[in-house]
Amino acid sequence: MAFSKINLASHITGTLPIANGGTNITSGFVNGSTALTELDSWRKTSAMNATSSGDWLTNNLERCDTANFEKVGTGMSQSSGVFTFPSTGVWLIRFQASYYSNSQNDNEYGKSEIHTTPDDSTYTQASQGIVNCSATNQSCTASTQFIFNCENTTNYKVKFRVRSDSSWYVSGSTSLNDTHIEFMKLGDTV
Amino acid sequence: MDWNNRGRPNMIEDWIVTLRGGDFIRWKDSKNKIYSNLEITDGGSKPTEKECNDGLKAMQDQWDKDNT
Repeated sequence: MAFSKINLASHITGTLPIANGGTNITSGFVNGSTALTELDSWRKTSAMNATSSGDWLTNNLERCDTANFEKVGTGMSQSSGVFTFPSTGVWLIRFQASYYSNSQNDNEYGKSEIHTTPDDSTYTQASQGIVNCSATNQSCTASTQFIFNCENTTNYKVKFRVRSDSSWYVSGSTSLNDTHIEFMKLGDTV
Repeated sequence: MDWNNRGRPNMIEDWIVTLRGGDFIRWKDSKNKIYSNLEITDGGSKPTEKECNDGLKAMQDQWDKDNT
């Protein structure tokens, strides 16, 4: 038996998200904010040398200005590598560092670290990505990400550190994202 | 230098970062990495322009030797 039409409202109580003959949904959206409100991308514009004790990214950080990139919203701000959020919320933070090995040892590594603080003072390592290069003059990347619940914009901050046990170079660029950081606001503070 | 493509060293930064660990250099203009725009931020002394140029030249010579 074939139906030529189905009456959507038949035997259903409540409000239908689409009317008979309609094409647009009128209800049933996810509650709360759903639009992308904050998205930003920063990068290291110069090289540095990562040591075994770890070295903060402090200098030569710029917002991505490669063609066709546009931040969404207010964007992050930073001073000497300490990043401040423009609004409270749950944020996805992604950090990728590009390493260049200058020595050969199977046990050597490069490490990218995200450190956060809730009090603008004491930083805790929140995540890390580790990469091993087993040959000299080899390029490799280590990335890591962390979901950060920023409860206030005054004291909740984040900064980034690189580490290697044999002074690998960390590369940077002013024209493309090499060693870089991305921020995306996922939603409201929980 | 394009580190990831193992390119020929082509700016004084390539040599300066070999001096020691850390993020100790700052460029007044990151898109114009010339000596006069260079600052040292870890309290160390700023190498002379000649030292930078000589250091870069040595790296270029080594790269040429290894790649020709």
